[in-house]
Amino acid sequence: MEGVIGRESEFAAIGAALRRPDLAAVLISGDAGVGKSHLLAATMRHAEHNGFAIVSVSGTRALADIPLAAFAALLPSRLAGDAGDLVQIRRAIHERAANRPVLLGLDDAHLLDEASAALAHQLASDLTAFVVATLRTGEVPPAAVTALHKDGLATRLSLDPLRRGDLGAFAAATLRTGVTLEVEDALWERTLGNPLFGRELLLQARDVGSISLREGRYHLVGPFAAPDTLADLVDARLAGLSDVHQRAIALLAVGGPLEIDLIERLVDADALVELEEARVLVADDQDDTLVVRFVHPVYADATRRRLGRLTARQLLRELATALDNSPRKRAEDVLRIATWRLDAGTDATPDLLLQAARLANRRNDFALAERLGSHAFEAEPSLQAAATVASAFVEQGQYAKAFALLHDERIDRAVASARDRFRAAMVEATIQFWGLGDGASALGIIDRMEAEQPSTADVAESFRASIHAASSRPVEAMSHVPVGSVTAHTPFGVFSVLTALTAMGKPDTALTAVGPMPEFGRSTSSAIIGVAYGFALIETGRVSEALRVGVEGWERAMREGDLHARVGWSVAIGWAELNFGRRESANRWFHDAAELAHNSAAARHGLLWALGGSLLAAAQGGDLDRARAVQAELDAMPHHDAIAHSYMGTRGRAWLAAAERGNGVAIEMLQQMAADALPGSNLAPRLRMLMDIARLGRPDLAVELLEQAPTEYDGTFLPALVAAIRALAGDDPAPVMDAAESLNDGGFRVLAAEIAAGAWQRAQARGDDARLVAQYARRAQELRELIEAYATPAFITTRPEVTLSRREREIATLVAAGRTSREVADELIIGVRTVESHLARVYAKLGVRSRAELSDALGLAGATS
Amino acid sequence: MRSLLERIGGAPTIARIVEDFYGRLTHDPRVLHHFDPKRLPSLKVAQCAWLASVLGGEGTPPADLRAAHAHLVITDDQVNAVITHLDGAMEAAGVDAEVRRQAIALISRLWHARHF
Repeated sequence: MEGVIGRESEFAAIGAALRRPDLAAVLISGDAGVGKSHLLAATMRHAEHNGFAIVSVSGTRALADIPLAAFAALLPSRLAGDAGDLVQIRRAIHERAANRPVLLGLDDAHLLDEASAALAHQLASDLTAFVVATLRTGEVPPAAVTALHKDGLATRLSLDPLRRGDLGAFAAATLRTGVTLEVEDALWERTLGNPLFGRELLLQARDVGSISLREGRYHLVGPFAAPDTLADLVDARLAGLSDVHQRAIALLAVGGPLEIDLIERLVDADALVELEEARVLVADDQDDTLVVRFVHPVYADATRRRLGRLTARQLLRELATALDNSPRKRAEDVLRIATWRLDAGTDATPDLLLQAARLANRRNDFALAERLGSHAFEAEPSLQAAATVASAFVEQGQYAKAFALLHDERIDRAVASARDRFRAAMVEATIQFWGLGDGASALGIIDRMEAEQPSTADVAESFRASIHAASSRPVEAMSHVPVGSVTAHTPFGVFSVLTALTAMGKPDTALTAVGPMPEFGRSTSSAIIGVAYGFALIETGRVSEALRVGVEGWERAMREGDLHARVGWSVAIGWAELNFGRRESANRWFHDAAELAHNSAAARHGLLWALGGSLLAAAQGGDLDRARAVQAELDAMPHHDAIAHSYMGTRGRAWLAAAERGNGVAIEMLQQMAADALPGSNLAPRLRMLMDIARLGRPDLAVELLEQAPTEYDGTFLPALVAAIRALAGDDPAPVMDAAESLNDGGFRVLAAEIAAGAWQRAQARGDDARLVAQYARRAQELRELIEAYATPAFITTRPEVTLSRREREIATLVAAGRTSREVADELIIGVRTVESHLARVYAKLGVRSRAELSDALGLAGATS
Repeated sequence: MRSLLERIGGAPTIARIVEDFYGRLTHDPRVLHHFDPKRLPSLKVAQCAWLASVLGGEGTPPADLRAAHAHLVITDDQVNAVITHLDGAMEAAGVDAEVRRQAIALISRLWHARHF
């Protein structure tokens, strides 16, 4: 195969992966210069030749922070930075594909931005494209790229240097003429098979005359003059450049890829052209601007190594000044100007640093905000700077540091503006409640702030509401954000209304009050709103909508690098998946949320919610080891007031207790929890607990508890839950099956399957007509097949499979294939009457009435008994 | 993640799809000459096994596409016809549109990768 000399086996491995239905990606990893991009290019050419549509995308260091930048080239216009981009990119890929299979090439995937990596993962997992990605050894790729391998979608291919035996062909391809064995030996000795090094070495040897052409082959004339390593070779090449060229590459090495108009202000345009011709630099179009960068990252590394510290500082200063004076300066350039000035060690004013820190906070780059803001604070310890840096700490889950900084004794609060005192108070209240779980202290801070600045009353009210709502005091929460009030439409107000009304059993009223999923940009509240909105959708009976909205929210958070919101949406999606019967997926979402929470503003409450979900999923799935481990982790967490979305966890404890110590213990626990939920009007979680009691075998007790708090629940789910509990307390299978069906319609497939099994049991216990029992059994089985393995009592004790005897199955199969009873009788050498009586039993067992229905039903019948 | 096979409805649905699929193929003048009526029953059995294995997400499907079609001259137009019929048969069997899209994408990829 052309272009894959010495790489035939790797090339074949990629082909084999393409032919494996269980794979959707290949990850090629190897050292710099080993030929990864080369192999990828050859793969793309060959795939195109075989009728694939090719989409080629590269990661670059410069764009690694800009969401979806890698895919931007596919779009006719610029990235809009909103949810539409993903749709546009998918549409562009779809159009390019034109019904052909798609191969997505990701070069330097370790440099992809997170959102592009996540998109690539999605495209592979939903089979839109087969992904072939290259990764540099030793670099850390985005999590979504590694996940391809973890999820079992990708095979890894590690690319080693060329083998000795391949060097002859490799040299011949590079020079377009063969070489002697002596040249091959010399090449091997020097390069040990690194193709990039080998190519550079051969070309240089030819140019300086170390090899010469005789009788159709290159012979070794003198020793290879080039240095020992690829890095040294690049060094030597760069050292040979003129001063003006040196200056250009030094600027690029310290400043990263630079816009053409910026670098042309500092170096001669001709020098850039010459460097492009010498294949040291290339220019790419990005967002309508030409951006200049090194042709290969090894050049940037080599240049940086050669650069003195003082020279680097001088260059950074020049870059900062040039960008500052540029007529095309954009608002976000203040980030680069401040960072460059800071690194140059001069003229970064506290104002500039603070402005940049706030911008970095807005762009979710909290580490940068912390760095810039800390310098501003050290230079001038203002309350404003402290609040900015404290925000950055909070967003990284470092509540203690944030608290300490706000109480730094160097801060003179008296000189701070009212606005800054307000902002600091908000950050501090956030730390106290969301971070440290102390609602009372947070309420105290809010009270003092409002007393000092009465104009902040609305914000204060909504903040108070959020504390009460999150602490499972829904009635108190609603008193601060009455429906229709201004405060109800602030970010915290929306969270409070959703959480409180849902807890009170009025999720539909909550959703109507807040309207379509509100957008508030990035703020601490965006994450908690995600959870609240998702939970409200679920409790109102719209599980699939919760899944859709959740994934959209998660994608938006991913694109914006908003960790906190990702935690919130992941918890909401996990909860929806768990109800929907996809326990493994739920588990993954909860696990991701817990993992991400650690370094986010959701370090405590997000973790509490995510672990709660994990516990419930593990306990209901019968994975007791995991459930015990998660419970121990929850036990080790300090108390936190934000318990509103942690009912999954408290219920999970009961389910674990049921598996370990019997249903009786679990029912007692649930009864206690239900009693605790009543005074605060947490009726929706209470209803779930009553359902749990019914599921664990005491529907009579559940009904009794239900009567203690007669309420009008709104939406479709909660009323269906009430109906199901009542039906389970009776012997009649019909209302039980009706309840199962209405739960199934809302997407509550686990409950539906369990309750349908209950209907079948009741029909059987009552001794109903065999055909009717069979119909219940079939429906129960159908619903059961929609969900993954759950180990709740209903599934452990009932086996609603239909079993046919061997003879019955034999006869049924023949009849389903269109034979008459006479033909079957002849074939099996039995009487027609025997055939008919077997067939009658089969009809009864399967709940069918005709031969036409038989073939459908046969697929659902269990194994022979 | 449930496999495509499970999401389609398992082996019974595959059998229905294959039956319908060959019904469509043997009535399409573009491709019907490829199907020998005598071999049709065994072809259907093999097709069921192949689809179940591929859509079930197994590593190695039972038949090699390249070898299985080596004796045939197949045009792009014919490939499109076959894919359209498979999609139609899945639709008739009530398979969800997204599941159909994924199944077709996978099968189309395996087909085009047969010479890799």
